[in-house]
Amino acid sequence: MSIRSAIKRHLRAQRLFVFNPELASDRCERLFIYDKEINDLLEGQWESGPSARRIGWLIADIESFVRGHEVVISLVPYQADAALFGRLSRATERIWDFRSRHPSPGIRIFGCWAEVDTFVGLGWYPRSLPWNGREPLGGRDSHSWEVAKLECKTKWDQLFPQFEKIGGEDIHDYISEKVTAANSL
Amino acid sequence: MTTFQKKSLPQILSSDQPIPEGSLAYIEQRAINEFYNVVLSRYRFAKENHNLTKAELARRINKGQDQVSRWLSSPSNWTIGTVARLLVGINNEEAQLSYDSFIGRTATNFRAEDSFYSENVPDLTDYRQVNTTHMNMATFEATQ
Repeated sequence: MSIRSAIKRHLRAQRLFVFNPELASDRCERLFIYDKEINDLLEGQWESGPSARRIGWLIADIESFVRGHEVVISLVPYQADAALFGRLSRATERIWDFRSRHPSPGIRIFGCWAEVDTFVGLGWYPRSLPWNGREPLGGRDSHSWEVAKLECKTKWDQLFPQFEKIGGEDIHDYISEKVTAANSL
Repeated sequence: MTTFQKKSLPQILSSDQPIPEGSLAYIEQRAINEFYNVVLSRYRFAKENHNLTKAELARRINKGQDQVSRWLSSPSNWTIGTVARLLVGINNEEAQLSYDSFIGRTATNFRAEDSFYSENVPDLTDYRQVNTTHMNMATFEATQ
């Protein structure tokens, strides 16, 4: 069985969900797949209320990735700065965050690459301020980062016990085209 | 328990009700991301084909390299002036605006889940190769 078959099985069981652009006229060039926790955030009644604007921005940022727009990613932990994706510390763990930074509080979606151009999001966190009932991750030395990474790893192992996450030291190991490394801008 | 059926953006916009703040935020960020995509594609093209460096771009537009790095990494804090400055600095270009209604656009024949569910639809990689007639601004720019 391929990881694609495993994803398909999880989609059917609604353990995972796949992001589609808001407009049916927008084509998908990459896949952003996510768990129920993220689905509840994105599919909730977010059109109004205090969280509405932040979630609207987050959806637009995910959509930009899915539509195949230019992406900046960072392979170097702690140096992602403004990149859309950053590999987190201890690169061998192969855990990344998707970074919707603006406006505050930034939102981080932790996840892993299942295939080239296919990111699997497995948990979300506010970066710097409490938001939507959740405590922020805090500074980079905060224990919360380690907890979040462990949760991500645990979810991956439960969903894909037979499959390793994608790794590599070339940005094209993760995104096939229209990608730039943050440290090569 | 109330079941919430999310409306599509065209459905929301077709109503005569005020546009919800979440939808407006999405539309704002979508526009910013479109500009960012065009600017970064022009930068990457100039870098790969004309050996443009960040230092040279910074010098051309009278900004520090750190500032240029931040602008190129993400469109946070961009203004229309940022777009104008970067485009002219990269290749003496300006953005040409066009507009199109969100409502009534033709749906693409490929949605993300198709790559998993349909036996007849090619997977994502194949799809890029066969669907060459539907070019959006980003892909058009990339081929220039």
